Amino acid sequence: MEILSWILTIATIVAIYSIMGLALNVHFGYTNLPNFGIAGFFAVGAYASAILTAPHRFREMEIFAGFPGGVAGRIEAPFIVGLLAAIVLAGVVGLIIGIPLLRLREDYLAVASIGIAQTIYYVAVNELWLTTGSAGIRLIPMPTGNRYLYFLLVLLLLAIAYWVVNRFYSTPIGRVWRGVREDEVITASLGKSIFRSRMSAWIAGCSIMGAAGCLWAHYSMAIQPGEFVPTTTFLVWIFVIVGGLRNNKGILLGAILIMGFFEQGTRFLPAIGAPYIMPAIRLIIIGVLLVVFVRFRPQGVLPERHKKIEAHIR
Amino acid sequence: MNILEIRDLDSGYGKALILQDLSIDVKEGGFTAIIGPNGAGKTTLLRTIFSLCDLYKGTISFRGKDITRIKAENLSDIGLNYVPQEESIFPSLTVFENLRMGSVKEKSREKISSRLERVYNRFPVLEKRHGQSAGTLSGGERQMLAVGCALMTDPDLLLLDEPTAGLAPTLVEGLFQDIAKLNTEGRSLLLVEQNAKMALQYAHEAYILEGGRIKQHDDAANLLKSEEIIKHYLSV
Amino acid sequence: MNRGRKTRPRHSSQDGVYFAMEDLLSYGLLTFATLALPSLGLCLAIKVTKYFNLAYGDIVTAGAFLALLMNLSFKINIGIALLISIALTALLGVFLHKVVFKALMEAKVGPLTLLVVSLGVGLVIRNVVLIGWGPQPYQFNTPLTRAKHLGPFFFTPNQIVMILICILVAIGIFLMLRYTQLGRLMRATSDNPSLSLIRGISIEKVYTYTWIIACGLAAIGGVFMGMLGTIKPGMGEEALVTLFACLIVGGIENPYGAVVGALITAFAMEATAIWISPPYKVVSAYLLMFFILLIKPSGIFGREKIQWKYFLGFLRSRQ
Repeated sequence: MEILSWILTIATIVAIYSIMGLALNVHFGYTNLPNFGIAGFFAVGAYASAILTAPHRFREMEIFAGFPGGVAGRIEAPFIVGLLAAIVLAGVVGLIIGIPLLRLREDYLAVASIGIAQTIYYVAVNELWLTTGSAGIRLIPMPTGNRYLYFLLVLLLLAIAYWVVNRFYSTPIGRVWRGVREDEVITASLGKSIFRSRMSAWIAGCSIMGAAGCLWAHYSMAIQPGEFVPTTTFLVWIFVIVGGLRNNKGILLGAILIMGFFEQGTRFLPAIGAPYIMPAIRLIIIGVLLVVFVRFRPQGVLPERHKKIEAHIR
Repeated sequence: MNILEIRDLDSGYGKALILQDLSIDVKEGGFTAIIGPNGAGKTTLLRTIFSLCDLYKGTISFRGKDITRIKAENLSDIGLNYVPQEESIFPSLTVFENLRMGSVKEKSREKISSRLERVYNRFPVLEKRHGQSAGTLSGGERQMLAVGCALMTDPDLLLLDEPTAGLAPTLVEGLFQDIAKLNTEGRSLLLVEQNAKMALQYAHEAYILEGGRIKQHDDAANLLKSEEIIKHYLSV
Repeated sequence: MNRGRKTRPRHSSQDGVYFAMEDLLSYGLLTFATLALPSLGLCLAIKVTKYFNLAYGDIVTAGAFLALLMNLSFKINIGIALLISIALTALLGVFLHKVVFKALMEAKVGPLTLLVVSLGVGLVIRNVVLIGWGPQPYQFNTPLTRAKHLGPFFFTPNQIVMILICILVAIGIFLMLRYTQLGRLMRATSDNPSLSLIRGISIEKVYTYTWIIACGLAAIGGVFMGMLGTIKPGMGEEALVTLFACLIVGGIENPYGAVVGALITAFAMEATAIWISPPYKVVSAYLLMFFILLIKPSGIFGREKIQWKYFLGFLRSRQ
């Protein structure tokens, strides 16, 4: 029974992270927008849903403990409202941030998006009325009430995300995205606005990350700003690169390999020394793995299906 | 006696094979031109000689010694130098610093200053501009500086990649005369040029490169008379 | 970059504005002293090697912890510990370049690939430091000194020495770039690496020297950050984006811009801490960076004009 519960934990976390990996594929794989602020959009989705769906009881407990009651727990909306709010809000934040960011060269975009995620992190730590600060929001309801059913819900949303992202690949807008990736000048000369097509890919990816954040909040039932640090972003990047950049099946595989075995699978091994030692060793292994993969197999375990843009961009 | 011998050369970038089965000779003290249309692989040829491209097959020997395994940064030591077509100077360095970069490995200060003096004598305008940043030079001055930098190692064989590209027509003639003068002083030259007429007038012999292969090889004077060449390269 | 603000209470007087200005000048200069040299080092690294090395923040951390090792474990005076740390950190930088980045650069991978790899390298350094020292913050063992008023400033003697070192080292680097052969080689390699090879410059050597200088500067920055605040494994990671803010404000490949950008960023951060909210001082550096990227991506010294239209015209523009 314990083993089954452990597998369920791993599978749920892998599925949620896979959704983020798919979103990163829309950003980086399809459109060449290196988003290093994944944790930020993840946080926006998680907090949006948590604040809306936290029960009144949470606010009462906060006030009882002597804190000023914040926004969280005022509304107690159902899960579906939280999910939609997470998707919309992450998309809106993506839109606002995208205006300055999407004009930048890719490496500037990478650094600036780290700054965005850090800004969101500082807001989550310091705006107590909104996020209850570093104590975090607790008592977030799990919508199905049962971890097995919740896993099926996550799996369903992963399937939807997978289908949507796969559809993007072959729809006209997806072709324009890849056109922008391969050659901006040619795509622009065909009358496609580079900024707008980048923006549509950017918002689509951000919204999917927001949905993943919502699923995370309702799975762990308590969120803290400390979960949305750059390391979260890097983990997503690393399994996307290891699994196979630009290949959605590869991303699932990478999520299982990296998140499953290294991140979650070792969590139950006996701890050596202080409690911070094992996670640190895990991250060192993941860092080395990243360097080795980029050096010797840059296309990942499963490479992209078509290397070049189709001749016809409609 | 050939100073440079290229035999059965295949080269390109990564997986893209650009030059195939190329054999080219440059005589000691000779002036060889390579002409051909855009995209024929002329620049690739010079970059291959200078170890900046991937070489798949064939040999390149300089004075009978194989140089295919020598790194680009060491080729100027053995008497070879290269004036690339674009970005042939360092724009944020001054003219003097650019020339100083030309003989970066030379230890003897006397040699450096005597070579510097010779470059300044050859191109007096560079001496006038020696403290100016090279990015502010005009196109003609840039080319003089690029050639001047290459001369700072006192090379026996100079590879020139379209030195007159983008220059005003009035300057082209003058630069060709400067180049021809380098040859009469005893330096061997391998010139890549799109301006076939000029190149054939000054060079001794020429190769015609098309689609990565040698199409024709003859004395420049004969090529200048050949009807096919006139039709393809010399008519406007 | 948690400044130990215990030297005196803030806004203690009725004449609050005067004291706030004094605070701004003093803390601004101190923050500048911690940011200027690492941002100059990062600028040189980017200028010569043409990719963003995100492990640089963790190299700053490594510099601070190497000095801490000398200072606390071997009881060496902080000044000498700083010198040893500079040498060891430079060695670390060269090691990383030779083992990880050199092969990738020779394989001609893009700047973004190198950026991703540098993230992995940073992750490794950070966690090695974490295993070695644990998550708790440390402080250097420095002789206690009293802060004194110096005109409008309020500094301890240590802090004055830090600011002087920072300014002198920065001037030294500028002179090196302008007048020495190594400076010329670095500028030439930055302009055009393949032409540098043709000219006979061993660009691999230039990269090595650049990393020595960049990591030496990172070590000084790390030690200064530790002198003013605490030393913990995440300090460099936190500082990294601030360093990029300094670079982007001044123009990413402009060494003078890096130092001026550090000055502007430092004062913007301390002004935020005094008048808005201390926790948001880092955010103010990021916002400054976004603002500059929005209106003038080449930095305040860049040649292009300010592009106000980005503010308003983005929805109408087709490109």
